[in-house]
Amino acid sequence: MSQETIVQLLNDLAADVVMLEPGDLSSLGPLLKTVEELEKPDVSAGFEFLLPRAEQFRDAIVTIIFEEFKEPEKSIELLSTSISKMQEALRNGADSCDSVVSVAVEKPEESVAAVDVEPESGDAEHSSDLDEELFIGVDFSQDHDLYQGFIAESNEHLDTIEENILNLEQDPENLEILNSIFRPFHTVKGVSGFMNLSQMNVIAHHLENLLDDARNQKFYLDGDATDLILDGVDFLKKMLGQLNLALDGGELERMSVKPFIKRVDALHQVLLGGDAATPDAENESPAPKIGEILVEEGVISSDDLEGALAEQRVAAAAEPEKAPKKIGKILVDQKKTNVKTVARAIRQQKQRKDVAGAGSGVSSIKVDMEKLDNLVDMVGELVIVQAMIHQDPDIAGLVTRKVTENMAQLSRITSSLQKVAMSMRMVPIKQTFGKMVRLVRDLAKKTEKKIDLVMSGEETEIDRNMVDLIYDPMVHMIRNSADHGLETPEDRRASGKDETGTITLKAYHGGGNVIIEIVDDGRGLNLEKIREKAIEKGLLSENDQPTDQELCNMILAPGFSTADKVTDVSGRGVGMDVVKKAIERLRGVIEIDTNTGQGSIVTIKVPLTLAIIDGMVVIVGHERYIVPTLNVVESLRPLKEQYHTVQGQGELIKVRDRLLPLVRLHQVFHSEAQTTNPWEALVVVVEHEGEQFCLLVDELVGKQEIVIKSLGERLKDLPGIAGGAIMGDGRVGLILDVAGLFT
Amino acid sequence: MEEHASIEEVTTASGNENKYLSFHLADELYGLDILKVREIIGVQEVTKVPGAEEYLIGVINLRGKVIPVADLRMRFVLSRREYDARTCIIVVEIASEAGPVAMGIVVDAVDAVVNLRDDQIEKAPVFSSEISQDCIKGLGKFEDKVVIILDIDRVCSSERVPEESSDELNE
Repeated sequence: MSQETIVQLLNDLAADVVMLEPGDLSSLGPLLKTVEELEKPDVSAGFEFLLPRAEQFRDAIVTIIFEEFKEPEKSIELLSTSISKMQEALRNGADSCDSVVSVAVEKPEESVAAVDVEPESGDAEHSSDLDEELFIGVDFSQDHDLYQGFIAESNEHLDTIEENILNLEQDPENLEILNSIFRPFHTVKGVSGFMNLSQMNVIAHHLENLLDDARNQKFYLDGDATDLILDGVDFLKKMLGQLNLALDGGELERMSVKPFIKRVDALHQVLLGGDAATPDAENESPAPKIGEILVEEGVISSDDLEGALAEQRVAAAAEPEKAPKKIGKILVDQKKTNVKTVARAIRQQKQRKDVAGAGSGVSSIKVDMEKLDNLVDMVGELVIVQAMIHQDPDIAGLVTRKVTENMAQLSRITSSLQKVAMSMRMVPIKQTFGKMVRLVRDLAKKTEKKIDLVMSGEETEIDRNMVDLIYDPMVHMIRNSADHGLETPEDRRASGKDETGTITLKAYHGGGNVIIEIVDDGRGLNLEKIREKAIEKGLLSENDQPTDQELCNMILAPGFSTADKVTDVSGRGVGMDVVKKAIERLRGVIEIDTNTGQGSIVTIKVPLTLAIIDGMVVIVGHERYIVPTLNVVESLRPLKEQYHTVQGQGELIKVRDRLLPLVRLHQVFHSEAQTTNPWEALVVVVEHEGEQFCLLVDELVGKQEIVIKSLGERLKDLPGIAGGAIMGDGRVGLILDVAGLFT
Repeated sequence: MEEHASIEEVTTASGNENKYLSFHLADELYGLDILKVREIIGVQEVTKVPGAEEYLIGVINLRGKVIPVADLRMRFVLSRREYDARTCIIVVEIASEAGPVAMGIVVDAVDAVVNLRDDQIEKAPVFSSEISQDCIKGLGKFEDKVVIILDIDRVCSSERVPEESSDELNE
């Protein structure tokens, strides 16, 4: 075929891409057609070097259609870049085009296997002969953000793959799961191709081929295959790490993809050569037919549908060469419905297809955190204004039914709006739990134990910011359970237990907190040993009679480890106190309980969100301050006899036989107080890291939930002030930092 | 009419033309780049923040965001004066290391938006004033008025007013 045809096709493509707008799916169809035209063997003969580009282009379009590409503007940008590269390649001939393309022309031997496997792809493989230098031909100075986005997105995809692979192990025949692994690989492949990251592209491509055959039920993926895929995921993650380094201008390791590719291909061959897989009769559930949707919606009766179908059959029989008339059109012709309804049904059909494809009933969109925060702020303001209007004496004076009703309605709407806004920051803990599956699997291999991980309550929601912070402590505790808690299979058999140990992860909401339990059925904590160690460390005296639970929680003290040997997995003796500190930073609590011989339970309790704290509102002079309830021990009005001074300066209040220093808030803050005598005012006993002192305040207003706001760059490091909060009247109150007040 | 005049001048004279928000502060007319201005709000009750620099009189709630407020009279060590109905807070965007942040500045009264060409702005001469030199971008002349163009980033930066200003105060 002539060069002209190709130039024409490319020009068409370029023009179409320019016209393309984000979200405009309908114009992608023609694009796809044009590319397919370009890929036809008779068209592209002599111009094979264009094929990999074309394939990438097509993949990207498909990705956009499936909306896996999160940023449509960028993807369109990519499309046009790709086209211009193709045009350039065409102008200059095959020699001067970039690395991906030139490699592809060589059609290396090794990849033939893969080509055989997937003949319909028909394109050149771009595998071997890649330089071991990563990221050749990548200009990092440009498109920095693009690469950053790519890294973040790909990591997410790889996490999804990991999670689903492990599900696949349990249920290797499940097509749904296979698809959910295949799709992210496909996306990673497509995008990395565009990004010129040829090595990543190759790995993803080979794994994708493997998965595709599994998807087509040519074989089932066994343990070896899942291991390999997991290795591939690790490999890709490592490359992403390198890419990240490269973006920051760091030194890069040399990585070779060839051995890995060989492994994939070898396994692929083995799997293909193995027993011919029995084709599964079970198909992916097809999306419902238009007619069925219309019947479901009650637009037409099932008789109408029957009639229309009959007509369709008759028409098809009469003119077999014509495309069959669409059922929707027949129904409209018969005036059973109108075009609009059918259009809606078609949209619905597409939606259902998408949903079925996504493997879950919930679809979601990504939203910028800042936008969300703004929304939450605004809604907070709305609530305040609503309260102000409600309490306005003029409005309160209008006691007509209409006003009362409307006001009630307004407050209902605002409060549910607030709830919704707050809930948008919440994500299911599933993501964090999912990572644990991989962890436990690896731990089981390392420690040569058999471990089952049972999870419940994955849908429990937790603040987005909390998710990352809770991860490390959880990993630590699970490691402990796997390494110290669970016994080896032999030991378990000896003590009459099932060989396979179980770690149970549970999450649920309780009392405004998220509670996460990590339960194992191992040997439990050795209380006697803990007791000895505690005495040795001076945490306990010989005569103390602590309860079992008190003993258990002693292992959270710094430097406390009862493990006999330090293993690769855990037992370095630092750790548990780190976990405790991490949880406390989240304003949470961690508790450990055990049943010797039967296992132990770790309970982590953290607040739902970091943005809200419980606060005690106090008044000093004209200002209101908020003391975090976590720091408050008690509040009281001392008697004159309880007040003591030391050398006329240091002030003390005697509370329950303890002498606590008195801090006058108005003095610290150089403001004025209404009352200066402690026996006429109030003191709040506060605690920080075991130390207690009294704060002198004028009045207590009450306890209240407070949304923490930053005071901004300029005012962030002021002693004694942790932040601001917007109070019920719309003014700002200051949140006290108890630690800062005392020093 | 006056505005017309200035618009016509754009086409005839050289130099870029920028818009400035002018405001009154103790008998003087000041201006700041309109692109820095986010909004103008009435004076409201401010929550004092102990430990902050004195001219940062506190924080306010700007539609759910807590922003600091600076009193410009205090910043420039001018005599203080009771807030009245014309006193207002100009919410400006200050460049900071962590990106632009909003900040309120209390001024006596907002005047107008004026168009000034670059050639209408003179470098500020060295004069004895309470305002440190580097806070001033220049002096804008229009009609028969002089507007002191402020570098608001500098004005609101965390650096203290240079010592010499207090010396001059003693003179």
